Amino acid sequence: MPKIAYYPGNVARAASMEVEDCIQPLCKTLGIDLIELPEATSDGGNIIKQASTKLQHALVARNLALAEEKGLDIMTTCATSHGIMKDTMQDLKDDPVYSAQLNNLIARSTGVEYRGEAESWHLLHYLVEEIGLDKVNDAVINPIDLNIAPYYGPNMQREGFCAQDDPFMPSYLEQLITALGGRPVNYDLKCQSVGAPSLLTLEKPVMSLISSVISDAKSNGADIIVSACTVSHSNLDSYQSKAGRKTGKNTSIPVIHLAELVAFALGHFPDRLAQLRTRAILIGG
Amino acid sequence: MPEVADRNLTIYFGSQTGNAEELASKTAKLAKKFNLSAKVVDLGDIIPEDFTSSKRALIITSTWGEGEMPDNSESIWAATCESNPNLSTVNFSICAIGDTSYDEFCKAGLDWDEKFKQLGANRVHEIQLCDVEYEPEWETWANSALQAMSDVDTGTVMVEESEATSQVETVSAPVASGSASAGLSSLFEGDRSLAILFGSQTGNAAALAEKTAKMAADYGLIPTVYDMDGFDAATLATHKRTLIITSTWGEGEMPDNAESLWQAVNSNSPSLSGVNFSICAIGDTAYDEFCKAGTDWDEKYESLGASRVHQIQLCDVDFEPPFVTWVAQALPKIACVDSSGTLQIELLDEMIAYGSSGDDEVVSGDFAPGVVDETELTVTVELFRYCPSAAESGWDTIVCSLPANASIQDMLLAIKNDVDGSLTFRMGDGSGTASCGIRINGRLVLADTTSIGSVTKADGRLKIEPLSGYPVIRDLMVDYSKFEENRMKAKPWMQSNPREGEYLLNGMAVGTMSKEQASKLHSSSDIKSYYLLHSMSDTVTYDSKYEGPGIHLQRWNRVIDPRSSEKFKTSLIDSLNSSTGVWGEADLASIARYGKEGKTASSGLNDVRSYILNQTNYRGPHGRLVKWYGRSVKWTGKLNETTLYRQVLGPIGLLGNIFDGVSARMVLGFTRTGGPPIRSLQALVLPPSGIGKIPNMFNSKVKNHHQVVGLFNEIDQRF
Repeated sequence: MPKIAYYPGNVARAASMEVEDCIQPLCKTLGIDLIELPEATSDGGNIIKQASTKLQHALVARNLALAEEKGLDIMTTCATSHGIMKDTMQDLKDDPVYSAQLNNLIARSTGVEYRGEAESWHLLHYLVEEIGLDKVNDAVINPIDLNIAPYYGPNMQREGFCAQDDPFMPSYLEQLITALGGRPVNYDLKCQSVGAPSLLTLEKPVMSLISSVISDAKSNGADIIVSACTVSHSNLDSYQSKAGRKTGKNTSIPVIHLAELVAFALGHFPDRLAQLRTRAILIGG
Repeated sequence: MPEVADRNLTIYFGSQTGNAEELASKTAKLAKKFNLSAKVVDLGDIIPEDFTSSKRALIITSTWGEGEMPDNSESIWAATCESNPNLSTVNFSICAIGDTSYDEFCKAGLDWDEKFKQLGANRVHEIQLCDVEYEPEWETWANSALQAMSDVDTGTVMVEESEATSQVETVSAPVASGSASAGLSSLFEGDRSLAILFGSQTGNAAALAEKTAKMAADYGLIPTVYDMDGFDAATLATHKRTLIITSTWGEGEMPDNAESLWQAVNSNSPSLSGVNFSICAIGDTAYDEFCKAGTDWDEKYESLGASRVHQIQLCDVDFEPPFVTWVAQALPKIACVDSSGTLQIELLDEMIAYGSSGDDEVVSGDFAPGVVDETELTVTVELFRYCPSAAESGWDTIVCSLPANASIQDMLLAIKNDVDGSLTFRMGDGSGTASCGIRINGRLVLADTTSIGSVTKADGRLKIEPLSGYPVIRDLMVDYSKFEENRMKAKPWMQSNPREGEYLLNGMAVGTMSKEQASKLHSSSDIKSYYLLHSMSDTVTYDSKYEGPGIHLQRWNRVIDPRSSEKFKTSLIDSLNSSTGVWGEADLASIARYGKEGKTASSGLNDVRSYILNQTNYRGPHGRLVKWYGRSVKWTGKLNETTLYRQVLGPIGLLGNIFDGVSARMVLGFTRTGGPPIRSLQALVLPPSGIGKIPNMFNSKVKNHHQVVGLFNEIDQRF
């Protein structure tokens, strides 16, 4: 059974509890042994970085070191958290002197040491490359028979951050949707930001970003949107009516997280899947 | 063994950075024009005695450091000074490249010049000293020195019989081997001039004439392109080799520039006996008088006694393919005309082989030419089109077959030439022109330097769009004027008055900076195109007031430049902190994903934000967001969204979320699936939630929370 450390990100255990609900059962079904890191902290969400890059680096490097201590790679359900981990790993690799100074500081304050050995995985890439789509497909009990628009966001769509997928014209989420019995919807803005870091401070452009993604997906025939990012998932869902009103676009559509989609297809939470289908009929498409 | 004239030339290069080596290769190409068989030799690969075997020697060398030889020449220089070989049979000339800002300008070249003279060699052309912009001076020298070398009589060389008879093998690399057959060698002696006349209305025939001239050098010809306008009809007979390329205008008329010459020839009827010619006529089969101007010239030349070496080629609107066929056949034939005007048709096969080997120069030394990817790619291009007059936009799908190494710009040009002449895009000069950016398969690239192969996906599809964040003028061409206006307002140029720093002996001030500062400044300014950088932001498309990362990074680079005056820095920071400034960027991650430059820009803008937050003590909503995010993480190790919403939005903002339906979406059930129902109920009575399901009001602490506090205290105690 493959073992991997689990990092929930900043909101999976807060405002996006449904992601946390789903990740454990889906991994159990696919034979993935998720190892908790009870000492892991927030990664700073690229917000703490605006005050101190070094502080955010230290928080992330400590989380990675905790996984390394157990001899494990680390997996997250959040594209932003995955992007932040990969970015930090790259920054520390590019500047060995800075990396050594930071490591000394972490070791002195926390007793763990970052060696740059743990790899960061996003759930999507882990399922496609490590578990395999055939195995996922074999485990499907309730195929998601819907037109599903994949949303990647910008954080993990960088060279070296998205495994072997194309950062600018990705297809892993589409492949996974197909494996789960859904019909992927192609649309242009699947990697566009929805302004998550500025949600509370920059209303007008953020609402435009949100509504443009949703209306693009809808106009291409989507019944629902599935997001690979936990934070963006919240933005796309809870702010869609506000975004629609501010921009005059039709933005009503159910939005779920990737972990939910997989869990539903694998037979977990049939009541929630039924609710999703109802919502798709009522407000989607 | 027959004897042929020795036309061998050796071009030695002493090079540190590759410039002299490149000039040596160019000189070798040029040598063909002078009927010289050139060999390029690395000075690092020879011994002094090798000089003695070169009857014609050119040395092209740079100077390194404080007047030293380049690394590849140090050994041969020392050995030559030690052995002092007798160079009395050597004819030489030197081209030295250097930098006048150094005391020992071009010293390496001057040393070789003096040494060769001292060892008895014959200087056939004065040394040329070239400054940093060396190309024009080199070109002048190369033409004169090669002419001088061509005029030198070095006697004959023996040629193996097999070389004389097996022409194709012999000439497969004529420049390197220098062993053309006796017949071909004698053909190359004397006048090798070729006149290429063009009659052109729109410029197509003129362009073909230029192309023909470039190719003519491969056959040992010295071409001159003549505009028929103003050409003296009386001199036609003096051009033993003449090619005419002409279009037809109107209803079978001569192009405007050819009309006078045509009239003059018709009135004077000069004898063209002894003239060898061939005609390429371009026209349009849609007209009755297809290619009439060309056929008129063809008949006229024949009637005046000229000899047609190759039949006339008639080209339709798509003139390129038949032109290529014609030039490939007509050039070697006319090159077989000797200096007396006699066509030596028996040398044609050998001439064809000689000409076609033109690009195969063998370069000695350890230099290896770059690998050229000649793979042919068939791609399906989805091309964005926009017509402003019809106010219509859409997509064209075009299938193209091109070499993988061709640039995107090459492909667009091919589409424009062959498919739709109205296709509009910005042209670059092939060196990474900042303004020729486009989006291709989601990537932001400069069209003139990005190869098709590097961006084509396995399915062979290429989706080409204009840059986002700018108004589209037509098709792929966008309007940069607003960006430029913003740049003018930003004034991101050096303002360092009063200038601070060190003073030179002459009293001039120079700014100083540490190595670290200089390095940071260089890396932060290492941006190929600020136009592309602007387009990396997802926000610029939706917020016309936001000036964008392309402007802000330029401002920031002046702030971190220690040479900028304090007053200037203050005004820059004020601009960066204004309503159109860096806080207008909704997500730096959208910029960071575009490679090295995106990462540089997002880091730079993050630095701006840090700087401003420090200056303003975390005032305003952005400051509160960062401050309370940090505090909540320090308190428990986790983000507390409830705290964040309450502190950043404040009571009015929270009420706004309720009125905007953000909270109601959750309460009424039309929101995300799952979650404990108690959370939903909480939202009814505890409104601070702004994002649907209300998160925990109070977080439990992560295990070993004291370690997190330790990190905060070590690195940043402001939280």
